[in-house]
Amino acid sequence: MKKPLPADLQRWSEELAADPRSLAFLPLARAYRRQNRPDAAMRLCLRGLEHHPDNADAHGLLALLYIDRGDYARAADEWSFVLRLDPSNFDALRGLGFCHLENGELQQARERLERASLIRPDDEAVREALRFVADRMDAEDARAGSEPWMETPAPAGTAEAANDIVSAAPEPAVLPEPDPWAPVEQPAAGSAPRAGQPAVQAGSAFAVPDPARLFEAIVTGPVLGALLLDTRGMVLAGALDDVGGAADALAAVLGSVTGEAARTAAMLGLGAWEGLLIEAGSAVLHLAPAGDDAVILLVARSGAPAGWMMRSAAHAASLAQEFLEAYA
Amino acid sequence: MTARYTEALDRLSRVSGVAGALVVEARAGLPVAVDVASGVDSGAVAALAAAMYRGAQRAAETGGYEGVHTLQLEATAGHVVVAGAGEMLVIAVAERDAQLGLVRLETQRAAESLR
Amino acid sequence: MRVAELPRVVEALRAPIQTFVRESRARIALVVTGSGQVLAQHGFARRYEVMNVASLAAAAHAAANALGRLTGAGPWQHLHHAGSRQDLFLATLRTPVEDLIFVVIFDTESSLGLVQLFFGRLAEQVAQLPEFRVLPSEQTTQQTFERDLEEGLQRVFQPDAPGR
Repeated sequence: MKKPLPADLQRWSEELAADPRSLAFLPLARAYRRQNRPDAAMRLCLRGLEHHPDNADAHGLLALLYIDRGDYARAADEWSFVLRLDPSNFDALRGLGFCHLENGELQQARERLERASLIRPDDEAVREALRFVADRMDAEDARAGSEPWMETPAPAGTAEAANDIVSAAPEPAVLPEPDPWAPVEQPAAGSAPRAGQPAVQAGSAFAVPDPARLFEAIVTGPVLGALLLDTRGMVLAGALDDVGGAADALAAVLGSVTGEAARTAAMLGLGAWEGLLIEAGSAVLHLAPAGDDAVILLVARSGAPAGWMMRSAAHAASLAQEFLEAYA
Repeated sequence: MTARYTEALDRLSRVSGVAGALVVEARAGLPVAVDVASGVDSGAVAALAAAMYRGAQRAAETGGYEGVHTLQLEATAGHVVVAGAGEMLVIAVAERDAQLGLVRLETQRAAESLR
Repeated sequence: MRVAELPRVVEALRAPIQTFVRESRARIALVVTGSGQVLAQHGFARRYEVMNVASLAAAAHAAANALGRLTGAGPWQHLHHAGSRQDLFLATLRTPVEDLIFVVIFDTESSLGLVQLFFGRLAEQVAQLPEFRVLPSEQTTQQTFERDLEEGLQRVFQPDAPGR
């Protein structure tokens, strides 16, 4: 708000004196707040709201005045009311996000701030806050301890994958291999989980799946592998055996590529990105968002039919969703 | 030289649903030849699509998949197709309902003609 | 630019220049006055002698302006130096108060296209900053303004009549 002229102040105050229902209370209250006269601003705002109880801007200003006083609870109430009147009010979403953050309510803070960032992706305060929330949540997860993906026993035999990508279960070999998502008996020590290994129980009654096998059902035909990544470029699940140890490096680089894709779509007015198809000399890569904070990478041999890629991608998306709902 | 670029874009820009066709210098991300409808910011398209392509190239190298020849971004309100042509890129911006197969084909043909 | 305004201006430039560096992936960006004073910077400053870069940028700005006048080319918009390892981009950052100089050093992580694109956005943002707004011709001192505020309040909150 630019600094009001004295003539503006006079005009607003005369209007309001002549008619207490005038909306001139709003710019006048803002002017008083800007001049560090919060009590006067508050009086004006509260009186204006008596006549205009559903004025979202007035409630928003009142929220700011409460913030000036350090009363986060009342500020949050006001912003909540604004959102009932106007669910996509950026200032209210941001303000409420910060109130939640102040109270240590990280999940709620993240939800509000993410909605705010959809409305104004370039708002620096929202971006910083989201980074802060992400760091705090990671730190809390680390303190709580992440779910252990336990070691698996040596392979009993190699399972053959079904040819039909619609049917999920691989053919059993010498010993029946359990459903990767079902509990099994015995933990073993020493070896890290690898794709194709049966899942192992962690010593509790709950099923502990092997995340590397999440996309086993679709890794068939020209599809070489699939990964579920978070938006920071870290692998959450899946396997990509053809690149050996470079899967993590590939995931890291693709984290930034998906950021570029989202930015390009948004800045060119094309909306939200839905997919990125990268056709290289010896492979085709398909990336697609999986919810707000994960990405699915599908890799197939060069020349894979585009329709099959899309179908596999859709199947991967539903597998990823189940995984994220259950374990993220 | 410029005529060669504009010829390459001629067929592409006529595909139904294409809102913009560009030849872009890949390294600088600057447009060299442009045929865009009003409302398409050719500078932004060139810079952002070239940056995305560069990222994709880096990913392909990391995975050992050889060079990227085509990149296709799908979004809720449109698509961007990028095809490599040596030091240049051919870029098409298309509406959501465009015939994507045809857009890809003509983008790749245009890139082929410039290699 | 008045000395008294400097801290506010510097603070106001902080967020736009940080956004620029992040979005464009430049190594460093500086906002410099015509006399070579650095108003704001963000990025990897340690590698560069920032004060010298700023002074030379101001000199290059003045020289390019003179060249533009001599050749009839008019005010220049930007200069680009394509180095073997890094590129340099200089542009005029126009504000209502004075023209500033925007200096960017970038490498292969960025591109001239990205730098130009996000410079355009930064320039629009800076032009809108209230710290750069010229005061209206009807100037008033702070005390006069306070008096007007007080009179306004008295006008509005006249002793409340019943039923008001």
